[in-house]
Amino acid sequence: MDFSTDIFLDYLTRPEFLSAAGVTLAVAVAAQLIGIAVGLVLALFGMSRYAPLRWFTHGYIWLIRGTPPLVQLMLLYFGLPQLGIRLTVLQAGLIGLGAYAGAFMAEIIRSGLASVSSDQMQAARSMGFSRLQSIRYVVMPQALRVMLPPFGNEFASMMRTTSLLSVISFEELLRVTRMAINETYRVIELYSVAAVYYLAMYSLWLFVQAYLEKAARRGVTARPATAPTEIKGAQ
Amino acid sequence: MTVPNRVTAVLMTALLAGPVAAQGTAEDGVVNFAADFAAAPNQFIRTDGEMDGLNVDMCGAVAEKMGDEIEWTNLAFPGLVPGLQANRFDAICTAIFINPERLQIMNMISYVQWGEGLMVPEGNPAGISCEAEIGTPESYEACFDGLAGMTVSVAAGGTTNTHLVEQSDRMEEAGLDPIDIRAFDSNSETIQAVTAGQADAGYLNDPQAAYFISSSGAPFEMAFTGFAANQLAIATLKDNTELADRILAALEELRADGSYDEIVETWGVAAVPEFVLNPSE
Repeated sequence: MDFSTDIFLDYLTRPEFLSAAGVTLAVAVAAQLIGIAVGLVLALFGMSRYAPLRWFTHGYIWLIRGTPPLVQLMLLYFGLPQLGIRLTVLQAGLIGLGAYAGAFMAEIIRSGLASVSSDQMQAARSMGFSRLQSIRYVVMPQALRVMLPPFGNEFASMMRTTSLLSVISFEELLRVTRMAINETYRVIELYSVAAVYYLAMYSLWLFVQAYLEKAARRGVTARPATAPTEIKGAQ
Repeated sequence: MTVPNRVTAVLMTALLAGPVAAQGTAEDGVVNFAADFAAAPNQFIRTDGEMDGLNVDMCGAVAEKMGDEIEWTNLAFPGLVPGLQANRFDAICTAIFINPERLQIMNMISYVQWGEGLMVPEGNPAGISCEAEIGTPESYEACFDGLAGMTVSVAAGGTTNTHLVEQSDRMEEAGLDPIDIRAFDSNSETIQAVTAGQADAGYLNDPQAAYFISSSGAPFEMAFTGFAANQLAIATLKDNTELADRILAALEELRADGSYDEIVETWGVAAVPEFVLNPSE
């Protein structure tokens, strides 16, 4: 069984692989957007003056980070019906991956905000901004630059994490690949096809990320506290 | 879970002192069957340490009809045929399919069939029914047609998956709605999808589905069994025709007095229309 270029190229252009890759990418984007929203709320809760909100964030992150996403998906899809909540495969998948991404985004957003010097916050407050307004208009735009690289890594790993969805019968790229292998027994060729698709999605994301980072640098004059300052010569 | 069992089995074989000179003849009064007891529901060791399963019941009844005491040897599956060839026991009574290679070295008596079946909620609310006849795939079509537009779970990549897709395609060509097939990674998740109400029915190997229903007492039933069935056999060595004939006769007696049907029913496997010694494929 030598590597068959014909089979590789045949499956590379098959509609079922193309659509599976498209679906995989769409689910990753949607789950990541949910994750950003969840993470933002969690980060703000974590910075709150009200202890119960801070506890909520700590508890949430403890729960999600301490259990494998596979187990979370299983409990959502198979477990919730026992409580009378029946999620579709897509709902369970998006909620599961979104909640999972949320815990990690919370940490990225928190450290991004913390990287902006507290002087910025105090300055904004003294100009009459509320706490939330200060974060929204003064701190967040500066923090975005610090957040983008780790966010990029998060999303790149999200594209691979979608492969877990096959456990709740979602037909994503890896499931479609395995099904094709079951029919043809051409393991190397078909996993190579899957690898090409995953790499293509990842490469696409690298371009988007580079564009976002460039946009975040434009028009931002304040330097985050973590930026290196000029080193003076010996005096 | 099954590892300790397998390890013991391997160790047992290693430690067994010399071949047991057993022939399973009528004079012996003892028949020694071997099976891999890590294969529920065919044969397994219950949590209370007792042996249980389809083959424990079936071959136990066979031995009783032959008027013999029964002894079991628990051995991991790969060791069964070599063990038989080494005369360590008289016969194999485990879930073993009949194929030409095996027929060359063993007498194989077909005694039950494993097929594919449909697990539905108790009372069969969707009313899936057909005059299913084992060996006639067309007779099952009405059952599959009843699944049009319904959600059915299946284990991904197995023959059950393939057959379900074939049936769904056939239905679509006939102008019916296709089956909404949800493929899961394993049998247990396939069953879980039905019990959680995420699927209307589950399409599985019938012994596994039936065993789940009987062991869990969950409110489910089999709408049909025996689709695409394969025959399983009780096997003796090629030259031990005497025992093979005695087993065949015992099976016939079991069928005559109704206990064969009872055992088959209990374990949810399909009966064979007739017991055949060395059926050629």
